[in-house]
Amino acid sequence: MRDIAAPPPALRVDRLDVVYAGTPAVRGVSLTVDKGEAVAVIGSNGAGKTSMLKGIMGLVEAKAATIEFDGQPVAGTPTHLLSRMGIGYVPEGRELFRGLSVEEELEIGGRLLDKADYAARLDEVLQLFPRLAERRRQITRTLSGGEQQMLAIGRTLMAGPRLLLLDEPSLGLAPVIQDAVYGTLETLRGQGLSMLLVEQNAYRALRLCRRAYVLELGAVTREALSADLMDDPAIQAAYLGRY
Amino acid sequence: MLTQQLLNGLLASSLYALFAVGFTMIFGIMGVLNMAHADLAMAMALAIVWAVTAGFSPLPAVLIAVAATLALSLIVERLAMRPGRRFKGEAAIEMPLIATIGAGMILQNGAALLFGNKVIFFPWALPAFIDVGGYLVSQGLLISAGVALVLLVLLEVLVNATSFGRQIRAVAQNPVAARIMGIDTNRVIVITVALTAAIAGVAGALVGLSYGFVAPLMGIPYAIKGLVAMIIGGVGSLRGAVIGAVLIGLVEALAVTWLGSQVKDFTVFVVLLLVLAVRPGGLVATPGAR
Repeated sequence: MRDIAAPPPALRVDRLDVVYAGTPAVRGVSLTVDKGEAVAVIGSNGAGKTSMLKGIMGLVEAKAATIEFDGQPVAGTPTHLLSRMGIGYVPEGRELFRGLSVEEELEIGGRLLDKADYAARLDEVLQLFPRLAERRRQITRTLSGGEQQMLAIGRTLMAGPRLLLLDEPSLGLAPVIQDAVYGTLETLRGQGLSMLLVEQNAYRALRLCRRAYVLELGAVTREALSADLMDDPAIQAAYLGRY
Repeated sequence: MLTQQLLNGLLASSLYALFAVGFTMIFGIMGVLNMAHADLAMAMALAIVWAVTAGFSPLPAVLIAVAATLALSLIVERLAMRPGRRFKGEAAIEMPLIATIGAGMILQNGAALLFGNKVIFFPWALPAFIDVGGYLVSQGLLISAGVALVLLVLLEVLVNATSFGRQIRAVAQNPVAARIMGIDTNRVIVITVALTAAIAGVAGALVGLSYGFVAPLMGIPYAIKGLVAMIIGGVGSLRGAVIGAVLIGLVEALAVTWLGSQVKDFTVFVVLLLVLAVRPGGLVATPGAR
């Protein structure tokens, strides 16, 4: 039972359903991300991880008993307002604006800040991703996959989110680039940013996050501390086998 | 003679450019054509005629006409274009295409009902020719070209050097990502439609100023020239639209000089087909466009 004096969780989702043309993709998913906590959702391809995030963000039609952000009900809120409220979403495939420059992407992220805050935030983001500073004037479609992923995270951080939803940040990246991206996510976790991380690469996700949910065929089948999941032979066989 | 004709063509192309940038901006941001776009120019021109006839002095008359044009553009967006955004695939393109053709017909027929299906004299015509460096130039077209140039430069600055312009390009390039980044895509689209309607409105008034008369069906030839200019230039590119418009203006002038005015439109379409054969994406590459 949650202590009533405790602050509300950063995110609370209760019984989320996403159905595509009669086929359920997410079935009654409930999860919580406490303030300052990094939580992983692991599952195989097609388990419903991306649909779950899209459902939370209002990008696909979804039904939920409750979606609360910082204790405020937000189910049915349009995507752009969720973003402005402080939910940063880094989608699978990065979804950059292919004709904009790195600088313009970052400006879009931080456009609601005043001049001083913008400069300070830009400085923070470029310290996290020095590579972006070198590529400031480059058009985003000419960046490498790793740089694009850094930009996708960087532009989201420009808005100063209080909760970060990340969808497969390691997908399609070389291991050394994955290390760099995950190194930055560790820094953000250390700074107390609440995170919900969706990953097929369970090993990396469980190493980063304290707690995790296992999603199978659209439903949560387990919720446990990451350390316990990593020691579990069934999880090892299903998701960590290649490590 | 040839230089004189080329000069006339260049000046006339400024009007085509104003229509072409409107079409290309709307297509760029929504991926659909607003076939009622040029009829908004007619609405502005006839609203000015109505307001002046009703006794309003020039400034209030223009303000009334601008308000009427913007209101009509927002109605067209809400009723004929926005429903298409609920569809996916081909239907998302076809539905607004057909609906805006219908909206254009309603505007044309509505104007014909109110004003009669006839040519109407514009109250502030400047059809007189003046001598510029030994060439005869229409006063109205000269003013049109000046106004168009200022508007096109302002538009270029707005789109490429302002926060709102970045939002326009963001919505054009990736509407889902725009929403994720907190951009109210509907608001950006509505403002863009209003902006393009205002430009079309100015173009409508300039047509009246340059040629001295307006009519309920006056938008049709400009819609065709604007669309052709947009395609020649490269759909989604502002600069391409202007280059396409200038090319059309010059080709028309050459056709009139060498072949006679009856083949003017024919040559424009020949150039369109040639450009499409050589550069199917248009003269200016538009990587950011859909």
